[in-house]
Amino acid sequence: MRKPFITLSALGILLAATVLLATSLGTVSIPMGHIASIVVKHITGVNIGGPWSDTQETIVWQLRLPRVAGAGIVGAALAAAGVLFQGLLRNPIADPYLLGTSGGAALAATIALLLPVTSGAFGFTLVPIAAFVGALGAVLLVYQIARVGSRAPITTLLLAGFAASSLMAAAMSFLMLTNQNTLQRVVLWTMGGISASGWDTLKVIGPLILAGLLCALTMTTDLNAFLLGEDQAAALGISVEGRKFMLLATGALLTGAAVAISGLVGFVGLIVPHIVRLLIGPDNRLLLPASALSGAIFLILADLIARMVLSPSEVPLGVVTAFVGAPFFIYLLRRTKREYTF
Amino acid sequence: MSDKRELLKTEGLRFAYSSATVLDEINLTLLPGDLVALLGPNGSGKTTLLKLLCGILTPRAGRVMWDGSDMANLRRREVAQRIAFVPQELTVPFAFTVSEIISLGRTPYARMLLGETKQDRAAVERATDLTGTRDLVDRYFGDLSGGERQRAVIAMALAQVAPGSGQPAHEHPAVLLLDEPTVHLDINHQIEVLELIHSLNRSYGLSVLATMHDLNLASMYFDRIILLNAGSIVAQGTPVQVLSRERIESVYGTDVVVEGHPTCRNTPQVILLPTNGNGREKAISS
Repeated sequence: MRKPFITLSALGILLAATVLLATSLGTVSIPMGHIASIVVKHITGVNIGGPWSDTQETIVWQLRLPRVAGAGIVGAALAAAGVLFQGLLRNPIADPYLLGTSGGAALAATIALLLPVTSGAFGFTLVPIAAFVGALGAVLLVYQIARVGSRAPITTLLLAGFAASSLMAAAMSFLMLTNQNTLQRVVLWTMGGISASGWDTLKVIGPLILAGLLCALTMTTDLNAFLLGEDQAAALGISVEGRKFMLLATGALLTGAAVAISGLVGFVGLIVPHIVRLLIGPDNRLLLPASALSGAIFLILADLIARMVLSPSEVPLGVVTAFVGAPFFIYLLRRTKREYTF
Repeated sequence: MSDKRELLKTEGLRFAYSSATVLDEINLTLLPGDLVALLGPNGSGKTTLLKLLCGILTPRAGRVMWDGSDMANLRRREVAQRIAFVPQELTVPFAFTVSEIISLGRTPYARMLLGETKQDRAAVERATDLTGTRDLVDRYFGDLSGGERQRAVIAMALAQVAPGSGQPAHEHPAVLLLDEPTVHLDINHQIEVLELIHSLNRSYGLSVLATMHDLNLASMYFDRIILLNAGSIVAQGTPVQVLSRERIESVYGTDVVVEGHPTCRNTPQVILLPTNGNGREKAISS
């Protein structure tokens, strides 16, 4: 593992700069110095710098920062979950949505959109809660289907994930066809978008994702061993089945928490781990934290583009991540010195 | 070595995949400094036995003892610090360098959220030197030839069971289990890998148990042979004791001649006899 401290510090500084930039830009642009001062004021109560108008303060603190923070934690969660699933499944095309999370979240969100109820709990509407429960429930279901005795072989997990996803997608299509009036809202939800409405939702989702990230960080050595195959992981002293369940549960928690406030933003969880791997290598001890930071940076920028390009209307976030991410990934694939061989 | 404690010992070991019994009543003992080959036809249970010995698989009946205690009662990582497994073929998704692969051997010593210790680095360095993989460390594991790959994985295994710096090997007895270490290799690399295993055993007292399909190489390089057939041990002893014509013919169902090696003492060599007429004709006419 080469220079982890320098790599992570550099990414941390880059993330801070990205947050400042994304908060500053918009239909009304706000000087970065004001942003820093407003943040300091709200956190410590100390008034430095200024003066700024009340409108500026509202835009920064009530509108833009929650949204930037939302994009950041969703990006970090999806990228980290991508690292977990790619490592555990030993599969470069694995992403956080592979084992049924997306299907479960989408189906549950669709049902929530169809229900006449509008109120939810914990300051959320019903849709994010449904998405979170759906994503987590789907992974647990897939794990149960794949389990034979005390073992859940990787191949069976992948197949069970595929089967469950297909089933849930079919159920969702059926619901959408029989309820055409909600069709557009469902489609928009599946294309993704940061909908953190103020700080309240973040106060719940933030700690969930933070806990998931910490949990993931404690398992990076195990994840490295899993890359050598389950037998070799066992020979290296890992309790394979227990760890596998913990890795799956953590990945599902991160994904579920992310899709609850973002819908199904694609590409981040697949592509960010690959980009980071091409730059710093495949060692999960560095790859996981570096991917989480990079995922945050990537999604904050993508969200900035999503709200700037057709301002004042917005482009779905999932469209932006694919448009920006794919060409950059292809460029890296072609020029990198670190050969991409499996 | 004076102490002859039983490092690995199995008692009435039995294993079955679903319903078909693969191994039955396996009783064997591995002492410090042992160099043992596990032979037997395909499907006789060699690989399964190795996986039982390092805890990848759990026995259906009987037990595996490590240094006097039942392995089932030991923590997985404690076992992994003493017993390393070198699989027939190791594949790694993503481009790991050889030095990264060797470092993975230190997994059973990893501390949560903390980096490598000085001892970890020393163990990796030593394993690299002992296996002659110094020139390979910056190359990608996936780009290596079969022989280089085998040496890198043996280095990983050595790093895994390496005693702390300066600690003599007999205070940290360790076992290397290898599954067909010479399969898919050309003859020069077969010799190279077996010489390496032999020297690790002789110079550092590492106990070795390796499955082999090549009877003659097993006879040349190993002190003791355990012969498996259909899930049971049919013979064990020195190559001279085990590799008799009658026994090989009955276990493998093939006609052979057994002769002494032209230069090595006590090294029986098994020569295959063709069973069809064409082969014999060719043999005679040349």
